[in-house]
Amino acid sequence: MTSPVSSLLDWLRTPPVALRNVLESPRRSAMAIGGMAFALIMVFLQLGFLEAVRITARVNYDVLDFDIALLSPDFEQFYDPGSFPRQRLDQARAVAGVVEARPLWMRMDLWRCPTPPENEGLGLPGLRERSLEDSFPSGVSVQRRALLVLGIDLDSNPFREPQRSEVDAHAARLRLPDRVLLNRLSNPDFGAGRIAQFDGWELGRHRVQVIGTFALPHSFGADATVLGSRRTFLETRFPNGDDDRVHFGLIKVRPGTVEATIEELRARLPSDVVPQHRSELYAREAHYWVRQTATGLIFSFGVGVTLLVAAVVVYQVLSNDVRNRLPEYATLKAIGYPDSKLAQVVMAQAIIYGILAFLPALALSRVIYHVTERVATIPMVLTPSNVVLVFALMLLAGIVSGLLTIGKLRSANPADLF
Amino acid sequence: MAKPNLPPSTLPTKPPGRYIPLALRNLTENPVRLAASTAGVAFAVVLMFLQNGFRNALLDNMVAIITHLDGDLFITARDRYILTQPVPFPLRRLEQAAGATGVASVHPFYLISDTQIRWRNQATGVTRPMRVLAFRLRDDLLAIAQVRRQLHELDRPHTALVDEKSKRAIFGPIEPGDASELSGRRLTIVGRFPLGTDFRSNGTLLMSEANLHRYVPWRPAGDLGDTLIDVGVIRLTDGAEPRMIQQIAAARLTPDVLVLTRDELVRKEQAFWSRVTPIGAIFDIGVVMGFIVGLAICYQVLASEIFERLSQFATLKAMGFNQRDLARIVVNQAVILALLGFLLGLVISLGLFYWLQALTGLNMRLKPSDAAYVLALALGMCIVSAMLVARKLQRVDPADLFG
Repeated sequence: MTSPVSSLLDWLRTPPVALRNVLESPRRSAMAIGGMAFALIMVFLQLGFLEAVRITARVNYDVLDFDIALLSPDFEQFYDPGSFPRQRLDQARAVAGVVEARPLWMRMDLWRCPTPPENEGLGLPGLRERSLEDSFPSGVSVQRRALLVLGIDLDSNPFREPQRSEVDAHAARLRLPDRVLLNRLSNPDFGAGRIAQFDGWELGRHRVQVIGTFALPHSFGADATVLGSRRTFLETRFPNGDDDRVHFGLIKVRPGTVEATIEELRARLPSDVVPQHRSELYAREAHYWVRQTATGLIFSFGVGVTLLVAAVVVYQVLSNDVRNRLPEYATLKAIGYPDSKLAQVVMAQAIIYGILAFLPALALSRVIYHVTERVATIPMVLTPSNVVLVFALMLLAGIVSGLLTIGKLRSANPADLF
Repeated sequence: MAKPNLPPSTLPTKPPGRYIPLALRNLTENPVRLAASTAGVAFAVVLMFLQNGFRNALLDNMVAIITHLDGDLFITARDRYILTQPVPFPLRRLEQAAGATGVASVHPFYLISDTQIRWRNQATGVTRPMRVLAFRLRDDLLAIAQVRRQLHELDRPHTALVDEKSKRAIFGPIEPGDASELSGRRLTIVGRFPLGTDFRSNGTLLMSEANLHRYVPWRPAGDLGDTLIDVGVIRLTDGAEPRMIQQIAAARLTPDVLVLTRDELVRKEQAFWSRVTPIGAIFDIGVVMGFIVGLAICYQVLASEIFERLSQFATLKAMGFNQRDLARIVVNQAVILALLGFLLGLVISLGLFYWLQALTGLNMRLKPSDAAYVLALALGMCIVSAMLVARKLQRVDPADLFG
């Protein structure tokens, strides 16, 4: 008698009260849904900012090919890694299970590049300088800003694809002194779009040539990146540090031997270098960025606050709706429907509103992420886990609000209305 | 429907001259509902306070040092586009500026960025970046009461004051009396002073110029013109016009340095952080979001309030009140709601700021100008919602409701 098809047809012919409620007054429903959608967009936005911080923690390691990292005991985070003697890499290579041990150097330095047109009008002295000796047409103003400098051993390329091939393609020219690659995904302020037109690039006070670009995703940590050979890195550095120290050792091991190799490295290498599993390094960096930087703390806080506000908005919307229909619910009660049935209607309506609010919120959030990414030059990524999280929380808020408003229904007295 | 011949009154008056505040009565009729509505508005207010507070904390903290420097004009390297960027200039620039008329004295100030110097956390043994400030004690360059009181303590070798907001979690024991290593050399903390961390540095030490050179051996020291300093502080004679002297001094100096007034230096710094980095944009978006949320909440609250009383408003209309009167009632309700929500939001925000300050070390301050700004936004959003709701009242026809 109750075959699924016939119950579906029944359902379509006489939709449940909750759906009817939603469709009955489209304008009011639209407003309610709009309010909820906006609260959800707000939550997505804050989640996006927090995710940008998490991405910052990952982005530099994601492009590097390693299973174990050798770090200085002073390592705090990627941009403050400390250093250790280069020979530890040679010693690591001697350990069974180690296939590759590649060095990576890093520092922050000042980059001389053409001022982007939109910064010209800001009147920021220091950001711009008059160039006196350059050979390009006068009128191009120049600025110096801090960026990340990476140095690698061109014969042991530590990058993963696609950066690996990109760097390899330029390797021959990078061997010449003072040649660098500029990250084309850097903040455009750093001149990646004007490589062909500008001739006066400097790293610190040292003239360099940009011979090409590579792609490294951007983050809060560094607004731009240049990459050079070991020789270029060391020779452009001022003051001269110790040429025999490196900042990261990137170790590849034979498949399945990671744990054993870490143990072996810990035993064999002196205490001025610390082997770290890739996943531990990720966790450590994420902990630094999310828990220890002011930005991470503030955005985490922001997520908490907006979740709370969104929950309140959801409650407001639903309780208003119930209040508006109180006479109808009271009438149903008078007819003889039990409170539980009414409660079901309320919760069903909450869920319907929720779903109808969620879909446009998701779509709009994508757009807002895109715009924010362009305007603020930070990575804004809508992760599946965030989407699921917001959906679940919205359902939860809807259900809880529904439960709370049931109290109102209980007190709805039909006689009061007539 | 013809208007009855009634006096053009506004709010209803019972004889003689008893004023009934309908808006207030409407709101307070149901205290629970009022509480919920107030809470809704308060939430939006808190959101705006928070986003605004974060933005100001960032901008104010980045210039905290500048605002406390005791001087009239300041010299920095032209390439030093933000103070955290380590770009010193030679001491002889100060001597060049000292000769300008109107200049009473010039003094060097040192600001060693945390990328260049490290403090050893005694609890964990790990060294962490630490920002260091220094000046000649007799120059008394920082106008902070606690610093002034403890200057004599810094005369002893290997001593420093610590910013009380420095994060213990990062630096370990760093109270007066604790000792550790800075740049591998022994240093003892002899006192605290209030400054505040910012988005770049987690802690700050203050010491005498004499002590500083012990910890930054790579920087040439002494009174020779080659000594590298970070900020030149110029004090003018009484009555000297800062802008004029600024021009004179700039003319005497080479283009590798700039002479700026305090305002100019602060604005330059804040312009970079708020406009060139994403931080300013992010928090501005946050304030806008808070405003729109507030608008939505206000509208919901007012709309439901008004529509519940539709018959009452219709009756008022029948009595002769015109649309403007009804609108005024709605707006009054909105204003009262805004004020109540603002007060509640203010109290909650003060508590949150206090907690956040302890958590992050940022100076989360709620200045009167911030309160005025958010109040204006709160009133704005409530009044705009009220106008939107009031427009709906236009269509209310008393005749529809009776019978």
